[in-house]
Order: sequence, then structure tokens, then C-alpha cells
Amino acid sequence: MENTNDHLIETAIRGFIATDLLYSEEGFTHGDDVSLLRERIIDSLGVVELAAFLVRRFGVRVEQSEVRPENFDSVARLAAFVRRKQGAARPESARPEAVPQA
Amino acid sequence: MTRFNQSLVDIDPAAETARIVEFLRRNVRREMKRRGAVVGISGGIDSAVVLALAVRAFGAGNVVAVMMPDRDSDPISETLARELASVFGVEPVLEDITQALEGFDCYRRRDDAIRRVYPGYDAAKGYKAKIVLPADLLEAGTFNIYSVTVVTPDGREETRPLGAREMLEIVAASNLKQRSRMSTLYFHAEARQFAVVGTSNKNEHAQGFFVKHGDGGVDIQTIAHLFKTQVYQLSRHLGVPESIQRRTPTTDTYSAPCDQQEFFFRLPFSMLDPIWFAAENRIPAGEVARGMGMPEVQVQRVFDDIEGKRRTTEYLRLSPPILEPAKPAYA
Repeated sequence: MENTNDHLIETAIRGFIATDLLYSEEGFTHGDDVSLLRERIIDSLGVVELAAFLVRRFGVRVEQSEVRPENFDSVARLAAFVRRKQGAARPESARPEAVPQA
Repeated sequence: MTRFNQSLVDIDPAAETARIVEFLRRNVRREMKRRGAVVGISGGIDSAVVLALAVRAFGAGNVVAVMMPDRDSDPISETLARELASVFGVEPVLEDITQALEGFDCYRRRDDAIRRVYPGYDAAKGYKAKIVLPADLLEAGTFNIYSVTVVTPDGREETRPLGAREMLEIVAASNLKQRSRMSTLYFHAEARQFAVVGTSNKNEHAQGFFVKHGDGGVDIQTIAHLFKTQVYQLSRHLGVPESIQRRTPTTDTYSAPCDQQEFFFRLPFSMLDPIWFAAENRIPAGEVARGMGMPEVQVQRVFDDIEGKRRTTEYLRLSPPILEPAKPAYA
């Protein structure tokens, strides 16, 4: 599973949207909190392609019931979704909250 | 001030009929210099109303009604289409497009894509399929993402999510049907100096529930300004057979029975049309919610769905852009 520290997830998602969904040469020029659908950045087909990208790139499992606006309608929501999924997939001892505090 | 209520969508059917008949005559006869109209009839309410309007505009002798089933079509479609043509005094023409579609490899291309999602799918063994949107528009914010539903020979239904590539291939293959029908209609129109008259209603045209250069490929749109519920009002005024008025609107495109609500609109028209009317007239969601007797959050979801579909299907309604000529040097 890819290291997902800092803003690597957001950067990868922005890159995918710009290159594979918008065919843009200028990159992803919107904020991470901008609604992807309301601002006409992507359509429902783009959402399907984004789901496949998350599976491919971050090795997370995406159920159809999880492909909803609260998880997929902005770069920030997508990144948070990936982090939640990766946290849930990690062994309990490896999760930050399981590390004993000094 | 009038409070929002569902009857705001109602039309005056007699006045609207006169308006459309004049619109047809003016454009087809005076502008296009065409003598009559060709209408593809499916046994559904929209083409029934358009046929009735065309007969009023040009006379039954100047209207050709073409039935264009393929091997996936429900046989009831042809039965109802023949009944319709008979009521309006038009001799129907039957054009089975199955062989044309086999020539285009329509069925194999579509079924190959379905098999990548559901490997056991085999049309020859009696499996049927359709593609559907989530049904829970009012209950949750969802995307318009298609799934494929396969009906097994023993009648069991199984729905699986579609990947982007599979969805695009199934839709592209299925659209060969509407484009074959468009070509067939233009054969009959050009052979007679007639115009092809469109049968899309407002719900279909503005929300993108049509095939570009398929059922969207026509010379004139007759009812694209009318909500589906308004089309039903016209149908009663025009004397469309009750069997057609009672029929559930269907896509009649996929081998498994598929109504338009599960395929695209996700709501009954009696609910969708007044909410859409409200959205167009900028009536606040709260007032609509009171008038419809439903929660405001659900009205807002419908507002969002209508606007989302309109935006994402703009490409379908776009004419080919043409570059302006560069200014000549002497200008």
C-alpha cells in the first residue's frame, strides 16, 4: 500500500483528475474542497473512474455503497476516504491510536 | 400570489394543440419546404401524441408512421403502434432493424461488455439484461452511476456495478439502435420530401435522455417543450388510445423489461415534473416541500439531480462548433 503521509494522496488525486478526466494541460486548478460535481469538474462517469483509480493506486477496497457525495465530491473528501480505508485496513498495532503515549 | 401546487404544471390542451399544429405547419411547409411528416411510433405515449399532432397538421395522407422493432423489443409495442395508426387513419410501415443491428455487431458488442461484469450471461440461453440507476433519489444523495441487472432464465434478478469501460460500451452499442432508427426514418422522409418529426418530451430532451444523432436526429422537435405529465394531458385531448395512455413508459431498448424511472428519471413523473417546474421558476425548496407534502431535503435532492443531469448532458444538445473564417487581408 502506498505511503500516504502529508498531501501525497491529494496530489495523486488532483493529478488523476487533471490528466485522465479533464485532459487538462494546466493541471487541477481548483481547491481541494470544491464540489467536483456542482462545479461541473467531473460527471458520474468520472466518479466511476475515480473509484477505480483509488482501488488501483492506493490498494483500498471501495464498495458501491461507499461511492457517494460525502466520500467522492471533492479532493479533500476523497483523500479523507482513502485515509479512513487505509486506517481500517492496517493491523491494529500499526494504527497511530494504538501506539502507547509517552 | 399563487401558492405552489402541482396543478401549476397543467396546460390548456386545446390551445397547446393549436399552437403546436401551427408551429409544425409553419416550419415544415414554409421553412423546410417539406410536404408532410415521418414519425417513428413505438407504442408509447410520446410518439402517439406526435403522430396525432402531425395528422392534425398535415392530414393522415401526408404522414408516415414507421414501426422499428428489433429482436429485444416487447411485442406489445408493435400491437399498440398498430392500434394507434389505425385510430388516426395512417397506414403503418414495419421496419424490423434486427438485421441492420447484427450488421453493426450491436448485440455482440453489448453482450461482450455485459459478460465482463457477469460472465454467465448468455442471451442464447434466455438471459436478459438492462442497465439501471440507483432507485433511492429521495432517500439519499447518490450519484447517477449505472449498474447492470441480469435476469436469469429462471427469473432471478442480480444487479452488479458497472465499470466505466463496460458502461460506455453497453451504452455505445445500444445507441446503434436509435441511430439505425434515425437512418430508417430519413429514408422514408427523403423518399417523399417529408420531414422527420421528433418525439422527445422535455424530460428527455433537457435531461439528456436521448441519443445524439439517434432519436435526437430530427428536423423539428414537436413536444420537447412539454413535461411528460403535460404530454399525457395532450394525449387525452387528442384521443390517443387508452391502452397507450395506461402503458408504463419504457425504454424498450434492453432485453429485460426496463421502465424509464429505473433507467433514468429515478422518480415518478407526477412528482418530478412539478418539482422541475418549481426549479425553473426559482420557487424555494421549502415552499415546494409544503406544496408537495415532502421534506425540504428531498426536494433539494431532486433540484440537484435535475440540474446535474442538465449540465452533464450539455454535450448532447451542442451543435458542432464551426470556426469563424479568419479575416481576409483586404478587410
